[in-house]
Amino acid sequence: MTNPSAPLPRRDFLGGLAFAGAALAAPVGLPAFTADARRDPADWDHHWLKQLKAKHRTFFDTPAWNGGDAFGYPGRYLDAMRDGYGAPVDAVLVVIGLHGATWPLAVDDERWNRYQLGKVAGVDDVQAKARSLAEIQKRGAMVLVCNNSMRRGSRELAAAMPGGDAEKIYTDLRAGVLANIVVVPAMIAAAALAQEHGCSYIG
Amino acid sequence: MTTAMAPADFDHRWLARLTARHRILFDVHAFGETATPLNRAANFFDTMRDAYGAKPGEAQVVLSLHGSSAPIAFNDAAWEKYAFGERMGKVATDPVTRKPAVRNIFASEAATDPWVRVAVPALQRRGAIFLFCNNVMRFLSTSLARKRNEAPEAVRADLIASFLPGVVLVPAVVAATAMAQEHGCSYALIK
Repeated sequence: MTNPSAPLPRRDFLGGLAFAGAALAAPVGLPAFTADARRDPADWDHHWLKQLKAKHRTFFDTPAWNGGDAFGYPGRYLDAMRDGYGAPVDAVLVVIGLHGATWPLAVDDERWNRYQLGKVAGVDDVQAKARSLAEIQKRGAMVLVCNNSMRRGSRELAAAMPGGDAEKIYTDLRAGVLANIVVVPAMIAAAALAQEHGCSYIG
Repeated sequence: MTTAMAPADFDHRWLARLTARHRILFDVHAFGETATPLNRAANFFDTMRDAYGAKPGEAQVVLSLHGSSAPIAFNDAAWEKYAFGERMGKVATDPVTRKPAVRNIFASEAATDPWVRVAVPALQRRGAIFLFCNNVMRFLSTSLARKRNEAPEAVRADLIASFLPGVVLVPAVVAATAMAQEHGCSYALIK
């Protein structure tokens, strides 16, 4: 959660699949942006905030893979709410905020391999990563990823490769964000907004 | 050891006790070398009283204990039996023997002990509630049972019977932490 980022087209949370598919096919078709472009609210999908309606809803601030337990913690929350507090499944919602070292978890396998993102995220077992993410999403978790973290990550990847172009890498990575993950301008703001919308917070 | 649990297995009344005007939950991931969570709880009570004019009963602290700080929830007998002083490391050195404590020095209010002002009972009298995670209990029971060649269920029962008065077993601290916020607690991470 560092520097400001440039805008990309608005993306619907549930409609992202089509967008991502098109982007995968033609990443060069994405609108151009510059490093100092101004951010506009209309450039982002804020619908996720309106989906925060479950009686029990909790935001998990997730900056580290944590040895493979990044999604295990919200999983244990869901278990305990069901078994220990008797909450119906649809009365509990988990929101996971990926930032810091975990932003690579939001992108597809193609980019994951292209940029060797396992090293960035500290993930050794890529299959376990995919399984873990799929499992928590199957339980209804909403997953957000921080645009600032992706920006910073793009710069770091570019710096580490000869002739690396941070803007091109960023554009490519944004096109590879998994369809059911929402890109937010900055996780620090998203975490605050989630709490404004009734979420508890777990750091 | 069975992992099944049900709402009736737990005492949820601590949630109804969260009524103080100023209430905060400490998500205690680390205990540190200076009993950080206990000192921070005392600081909160002191500051709310001295700088914000909170009267007795107008401030509450909930401490969600994770693994490293778990032993502070137990009585002296359990500390001796399960060698919790060794488990906690340097911070749990007994000031008298200069060896790993075989009593809970973090619950001692003896004038000769180091944590009198922030001892668990002292904080409880000021409005602190200590929560113990059932997931940690499961791990601890299994680990100690293996080490002692005993049945995990028996160790678990013994540990629960060894809680300091007022300590609450919750299904999972991660859920209790969220529930406390639903009941008006602010959140602070201690790591």
